[in-house]
Amino acid sequence: MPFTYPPMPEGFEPPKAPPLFGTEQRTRLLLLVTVLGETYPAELSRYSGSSISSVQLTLDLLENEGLIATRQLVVRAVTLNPTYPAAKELKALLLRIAEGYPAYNQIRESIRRRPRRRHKVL
Amino acid sequence: MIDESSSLEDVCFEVAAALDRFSIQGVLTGGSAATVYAPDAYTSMDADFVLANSPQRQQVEAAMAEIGYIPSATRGMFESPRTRFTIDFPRAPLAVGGDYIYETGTLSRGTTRLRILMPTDCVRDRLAHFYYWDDYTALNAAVGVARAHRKRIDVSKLRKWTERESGPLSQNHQPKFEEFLRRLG
Repeated sequence: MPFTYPPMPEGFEPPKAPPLFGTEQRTRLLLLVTVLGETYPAELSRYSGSSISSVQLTLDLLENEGLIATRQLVVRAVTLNPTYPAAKELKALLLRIAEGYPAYNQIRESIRRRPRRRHKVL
Repeated sequence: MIDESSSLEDVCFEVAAALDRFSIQGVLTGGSAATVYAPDAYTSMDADFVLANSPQRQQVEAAMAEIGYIPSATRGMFESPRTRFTIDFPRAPLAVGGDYIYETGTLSRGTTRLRILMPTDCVRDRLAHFYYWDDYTALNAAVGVARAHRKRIDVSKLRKWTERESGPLSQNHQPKFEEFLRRLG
């Protein structure tokens, strides 16, 4: 049976973001990528409240700017680009911005990252 | 003239000449620079040129069209029906890891000059991909370039840069640098 996400809690609203990187959506995705570490479009779509196609389009723009890096695994794995010349400074800036928006931390802490044996009930 | 028998280096010189005719300054970087420095150690299928003077896209397209390259479906890349090598123009500025690059090397063929990362920076560029992505093909390329240009490689610069790249917001790359030195012999 394919994995499906549990629904978002009632009243969940996508986290706010300042339009610092051109648009609110670009900044929101950068903040999510930063707090989540490695992520992928479906996860970003879920937490940003945007469609996957809109997320993919914004990821393309951010990748062309060199801010993020994506690798084609089974899905498109997304991280901040560690070889961007200002990678450390960018990460520090985004983490600092995220501190001002508690929703990002809440999202990070709501995700189970540790392994779970296949077929084991949630 | 680019054709099926052209090597990546041939293509790079053709691109450099075409850019030059349009007064566009490009520097060869990435895996393609490693292939030019150490063709037996690493084979890249695309040439990455970082453009220095922010030219208009139409200008770049016109320069590429002169040598038979057209924009590909992948944004920013160019392809040619005459060769399997593609051309990409990664976003400026020219950098390796956290260091901006201001000094580059030049290779010449007749009157054509190909601007390219210096060998030590080329090794740094490949090592960055090994450090951050665990990419052993990049490590092998770094070792290949360093072996082929041993006298021009500044190991002390590589070591200091590795220390700078390691840090509280990053991983410790020292063991990977030692692995590079071990393979370099």
